[in-house]
Amino acid sequence: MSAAVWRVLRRLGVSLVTLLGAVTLTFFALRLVPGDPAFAILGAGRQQVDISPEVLAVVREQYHLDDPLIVQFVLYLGRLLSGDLGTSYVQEQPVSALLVAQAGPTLALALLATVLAVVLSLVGAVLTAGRRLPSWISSALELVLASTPVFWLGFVLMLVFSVWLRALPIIDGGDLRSLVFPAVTLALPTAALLLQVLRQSLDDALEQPFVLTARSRGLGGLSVTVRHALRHAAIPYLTMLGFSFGALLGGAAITETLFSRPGLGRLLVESVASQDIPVVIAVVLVSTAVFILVNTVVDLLYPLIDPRMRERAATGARR
Amino acid sequence: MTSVQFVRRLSAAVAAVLAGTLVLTACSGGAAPDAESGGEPVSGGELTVAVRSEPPQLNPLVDQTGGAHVLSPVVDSLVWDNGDGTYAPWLATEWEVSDDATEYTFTLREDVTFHDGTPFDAEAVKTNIDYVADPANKSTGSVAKLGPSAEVVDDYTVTITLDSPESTFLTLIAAPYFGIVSPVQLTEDPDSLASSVIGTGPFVFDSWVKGQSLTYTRNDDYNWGPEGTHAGAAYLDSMKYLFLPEDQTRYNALVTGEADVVDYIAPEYAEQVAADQDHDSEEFLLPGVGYTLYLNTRQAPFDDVTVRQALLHGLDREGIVEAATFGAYPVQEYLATTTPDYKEDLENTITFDVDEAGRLLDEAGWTETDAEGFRVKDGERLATTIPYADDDQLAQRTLEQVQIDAKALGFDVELQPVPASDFSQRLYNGDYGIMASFQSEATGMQLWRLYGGDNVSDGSSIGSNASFLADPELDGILAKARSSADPTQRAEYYGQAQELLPELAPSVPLFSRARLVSWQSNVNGLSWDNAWPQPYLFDVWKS
Amino acid sequence: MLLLFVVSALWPELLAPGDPLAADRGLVLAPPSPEHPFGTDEIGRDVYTRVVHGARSSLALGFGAVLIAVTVGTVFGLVAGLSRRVVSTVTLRIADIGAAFPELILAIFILALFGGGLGTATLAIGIAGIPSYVRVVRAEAVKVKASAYIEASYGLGLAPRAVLLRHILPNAVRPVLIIATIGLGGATLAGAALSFLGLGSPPPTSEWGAMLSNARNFLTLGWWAAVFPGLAITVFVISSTVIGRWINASREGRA
Repeated sequence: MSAAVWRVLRRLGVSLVTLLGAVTLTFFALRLVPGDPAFAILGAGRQQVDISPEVLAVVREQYHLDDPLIVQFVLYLGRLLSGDLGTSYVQEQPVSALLVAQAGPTLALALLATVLAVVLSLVGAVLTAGRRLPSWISSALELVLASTPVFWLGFVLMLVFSVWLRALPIIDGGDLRSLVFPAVTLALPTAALLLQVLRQSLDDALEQPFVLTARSRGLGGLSVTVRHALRHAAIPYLTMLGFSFGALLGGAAITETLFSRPGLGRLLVESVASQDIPVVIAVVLVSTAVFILVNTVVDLLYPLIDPRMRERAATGARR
Repeated sequence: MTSVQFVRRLSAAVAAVLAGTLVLTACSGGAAPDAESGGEPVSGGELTVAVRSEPPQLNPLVDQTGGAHVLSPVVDSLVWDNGDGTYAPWLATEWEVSDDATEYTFTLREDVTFHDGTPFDAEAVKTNIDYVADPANKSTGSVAKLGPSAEVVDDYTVTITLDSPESTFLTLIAAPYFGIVSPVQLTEDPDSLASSVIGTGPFVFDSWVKGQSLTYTRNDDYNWGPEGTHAGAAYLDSMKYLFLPEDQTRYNALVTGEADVVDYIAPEYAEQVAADQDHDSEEFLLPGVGYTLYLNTRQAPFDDVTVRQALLHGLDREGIVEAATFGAYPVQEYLATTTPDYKEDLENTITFDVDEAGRLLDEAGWTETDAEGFRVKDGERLATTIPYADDDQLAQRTLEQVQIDAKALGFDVELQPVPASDFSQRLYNGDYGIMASFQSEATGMQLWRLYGGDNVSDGSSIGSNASFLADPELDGILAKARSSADPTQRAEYYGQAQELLPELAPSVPLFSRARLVSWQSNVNGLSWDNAWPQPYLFDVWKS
Repeated sequence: MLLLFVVSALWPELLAPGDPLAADRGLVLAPPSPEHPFGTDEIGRDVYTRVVHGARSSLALGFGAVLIAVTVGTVFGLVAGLSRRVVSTVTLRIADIGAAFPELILAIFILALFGGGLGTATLAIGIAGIPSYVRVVRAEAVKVKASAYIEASYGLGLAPRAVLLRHILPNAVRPVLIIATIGLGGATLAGAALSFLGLGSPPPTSEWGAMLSNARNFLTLGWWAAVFPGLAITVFVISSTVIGRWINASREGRA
């Protein structure tokens, strides 16, 4: 087996272990939350509801809540391996069905936001790196965007563009138009963050000897930035992008709640509030898996981008 | 339908409120003042209704904590609640109540079918009652609490017997959380109720996009609307509920025209909606015990009735409610004025008197004061905590105002934001100083659920009596009220209870919630379901 | 500007002598006036006084969270980047498990465990921030370690500890500082997000995120109640970032 393949497999294995760790942590952490899940199952929330001893007993029996924690965990892992994510306490449906239904909107939102953020940050950085005035203007704008709470930004956007200008719908109609707002809200702070990191690295790179060499060979400013400096700046940028994806998943919780959109984020927020443990674990599992996947890819990309790391990776794998 | 319940209208059209007339046609805004403003009803169109909360699942028989309201277009009830203590035929044509209010015999319509083609009959009603009564189905509604059992007398006659007498049973079963579900679905595929529901209603379940919308289409065969509604099928082709939990977003949906009807407009927008010429609106003062602070009588300092009375009289309830609800909700006594058994000429009302409250606290021994100005007795500060749902902004505003008044009395009140799901657990454990909650039910029976000594959490069950009050005199009165099938006598007993409660001071009632609904001016025919007050959309049409 | 915030946090009475909890029920959501320069909020309290007094809790949250995240994150990051394979792998795996949760979601979990409040919110945001610092420090440390001049330093016979202190730490820490300055803002913003979800400081404490969150429904009725705490957050985050960059630039100048 070639070293590269071995390395990829090993990295994937590690990711799986990480995932298992995350599942374990989540399961036990949520069980420590004050509050008996039996009440969550009975849908008893903010109102006083009478619950008879018979009903309480039925619920505890049905969901194995009287078993020791470790037994519950083993039962859960066993079902998980067979692809069964359990049944929602509150919605009384297979969790997998709920996830499938909610994954689409969130995926669309996160992808569009990522694309927006990447495009904005790349264009912004390439155009402004190494130039004094554009850099200054851009960083001022970044600062304001990165410094404003997401939900506040969303509210203001909604007020201006929907209520005053009537340019975009508030309510999710399932089309691309209604995706614009949440995606922009989600993308702007991320784009600002990426842009900051990217320009910083580009500015550093533009002072490096190899760039000066390129310049001396007669290459113009923009093409130097694109061809040489961008490559140099790729590692911090990719690392940041990997993280930003996590921030996007977290931000989706806020954005989806704010814009009353369906999706995993809103499902999670609601499930945490109603203590719907199987759903919470499943959403965490899925978003964690996606996040791990993204970062695994980023990790695997390092040696491809920075030649200095290639050798180390190869020797590391052989050991 | 009468308009007695509408205590306050939003527009100048107050004169239109006359008992016994059909209400909710023309209201505020520029609509014509006569009752049939939009002309002849026309069929067709889709109605988009923006609501606050989404049901966790679609089974109306399981719980009544807020989701079932969107199911009312799909399921019908046995009787229609007129809102004044009388009832009109719906799926049942007539009924008989035993003198002790434990046996209810219904004669059913013979021309009704469920959406799946199953005929509606006595057996179907029995299946629904059996389902609710079986603990395995985890029904936590008021009907389940009464321990009902059903007996089929003949094909279209059924008798429901209750474990304990309940004189307001008809109101309980008139609400959508006892909407009749297809017996085939209940027995053969009960799990499907998590995501679909089959009833006899004017609309048929179509699709549910979780976190977004619920869609119904017209039931063309429908011809059994409750008395007082139009004959035949619904006018609308389809209906779509949009779930918009953010108050601001929901209100914006009305302004931008993206929703035809917006339910539960937050009180802060009440004034704007009233002044708005483009939309019509109506509010319904929800009956029941309203928003109330339940004082935990099992713990210090509220184990002392004098301290409870001090708080009851020491809070400026008018000022608190006015400020917290932007003047949109009225202060109430132990029952909202729209509750059928509310006592009109109440003698024992709650008065605001800071000096009296101070005197009572002195009398109870809280005479010293600490550095921060709070009262102290035997080295202990006069203090308590109020947990409240962390996503409930109205509760937060109200309780912050309560906190300010309490501080002026020398009472240290701590607010504790907790997840909404925490409440039952706390109720089970008695783990709070004050429990603040809003509850609405169109019967005086709520007084028994909330203050009856037999509804106290006891370690194996959870009871609604958040004050842990157990007063023999009150319990006696409530028992008599519940077994009085005669409405006048029942009202008399519930009246006595309302006179007694300020003495016992188990709680501080604050406000009745005005459910404010607003709609675009091309929407006509919106009325109210009184059993569990909410917009009733069967008669609605779009011009 | 930052000085102004620090003064507000330490001696709010100097800038706003009033009581941030004093409410006037007759003046709910009153517009800005000479008496109430920033207007009043939905309870009838003076927004200006609350914004000034809010600096204390808001700054404490931001600084506290970043301190936790940077300290723990840098230590683990260096360990993961520089130590032997087994230790490095284990450290990185632990950090990865933490990092596998999106930060905000992790913060919500921790708050669900310990209950809401200013202290727990600070802790939650701090803990949630650790893994990202571990990753960045490690990535930089690995990069620096692999670079030619480190090899050269070893070649010159410098002790590993000296190499770590003199070359790797400063180089690896530089990008961390950039991110940490943004992180201070990020932590403040995360606090606001938690307040939006109702998990921040309990009322009636004045804290910018909670104020903004509570006022969000009154944008059309009283913009001032939301705009001023929102501005306070934005201006604070901006000024801390600018200061951070300035520190960073001057350090680079010396190096």
